[in-house]
Amino acid sequence: MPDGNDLTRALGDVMRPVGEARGLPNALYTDPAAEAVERQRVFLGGWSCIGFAHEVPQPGDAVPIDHLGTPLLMLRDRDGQLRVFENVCRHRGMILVETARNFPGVIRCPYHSWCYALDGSLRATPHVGGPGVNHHASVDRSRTGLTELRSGVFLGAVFVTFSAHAPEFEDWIAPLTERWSDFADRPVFHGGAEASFALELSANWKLAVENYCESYHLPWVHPSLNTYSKLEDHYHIEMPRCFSGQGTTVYAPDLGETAFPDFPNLPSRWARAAEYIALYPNVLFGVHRDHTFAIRLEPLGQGRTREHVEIFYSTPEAATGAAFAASRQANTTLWKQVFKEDIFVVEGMQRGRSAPGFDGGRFSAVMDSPTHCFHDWVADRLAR
Amino acid sequence: MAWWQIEAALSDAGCAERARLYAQAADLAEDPGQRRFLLTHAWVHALSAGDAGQVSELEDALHALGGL
Repeated sequence: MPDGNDLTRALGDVMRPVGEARGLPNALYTDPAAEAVERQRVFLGGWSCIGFAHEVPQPGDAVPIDHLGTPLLMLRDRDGQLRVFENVCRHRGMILVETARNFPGVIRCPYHSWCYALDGSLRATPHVGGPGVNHHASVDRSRTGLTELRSGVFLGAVFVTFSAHAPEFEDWIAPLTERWSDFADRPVFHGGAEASFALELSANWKLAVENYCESYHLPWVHPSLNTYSKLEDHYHIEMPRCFSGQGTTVYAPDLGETAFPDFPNLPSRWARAAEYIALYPNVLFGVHRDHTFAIRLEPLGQGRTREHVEIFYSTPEAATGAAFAASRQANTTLWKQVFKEDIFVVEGMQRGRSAPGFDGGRFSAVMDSPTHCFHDWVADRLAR
Repeated sequence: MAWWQIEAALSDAGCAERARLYAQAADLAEDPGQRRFLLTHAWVHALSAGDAGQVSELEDALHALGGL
């Protein structure tokens, strides 16, 4: 980890205009000490993605999640509302739920059987006042519920914040809902097991963001994608300190004979357009006239990342109907191929960051501005 | 059912069945403290099973015995 002055200088260089800037320093990709700072300021200090709403479809469904070492529990309560709690009993700090399951009743701590309703309230404290005495003045049940995090859902992805200073979810997501107002309020339907896959990268999570949000590499790394979506058909998307990415004016993959139904009443510009946006810090979205996808980046250490890829469709029939099974399979295969093609470059960049002479690199002021937009955001969060 | 039979049945039982078995065991208990202890276990398992009717009955019984 660079000392304070060196880091301040390096972050200042990152935040210069794209044509003069340097990239983020190597330590932010390789140094465990930097990871701890980044966890606090980049992830826990704002909103980040922890999972997907379709993982808890029914009331009582609950999924334990390890979010950067923090044990969380995502569940759907009896009213159908998605909630996220710390997955910890308020009594002795025991982990409450170890594996995904449905709770027909309360959540019972396996240690002393304190019980929580699905709204997080403390429902029962057996023997707390002695054998068979289930109440005591020392434990105020009305003030000892599970610790709930603020959460929100956008295009199927679930976000939380640990920070009391973070804006309301609706305010935080507003720049993206405004850009994608044609999609933002629509239901999306997950394509089931065949629309869900994970990839592991021997690379820092930031490199996955950086690679995703620029189109510069497409003709070299994705020759098949480039046959129907060429570099010259792409444009940059930049919303400083929020998101960046790329769009294409020519989206026309061959998915076989059965075309997916489009989202209804889309403006005509989406007939052949698609956009791919990295919403900082850790979710990569793609929208098309007939499907969307989201990739949650799960940091597993400075040099390891798991990508959770989930594909969504415009109608329940398109998402799970037998008539679209072959097309769904073709679509999953297509995206898996594209995302796998990226692995060698993000892993190569990770190894490159062990070269002491690499100073963060230079940006093309024309082609790399979405990547620089992301670096600028990270530098700003770390410099606060 | 005798207590030893209940104890044997508990090991393989789910929440709803455990609630029923502990309530049965409480019926066999002569000591009020022991009865309250067993009803507490029946109550916790009924809560876990989401059986609102049984929870209500057990809470009434526990109230009567000073357990709630």
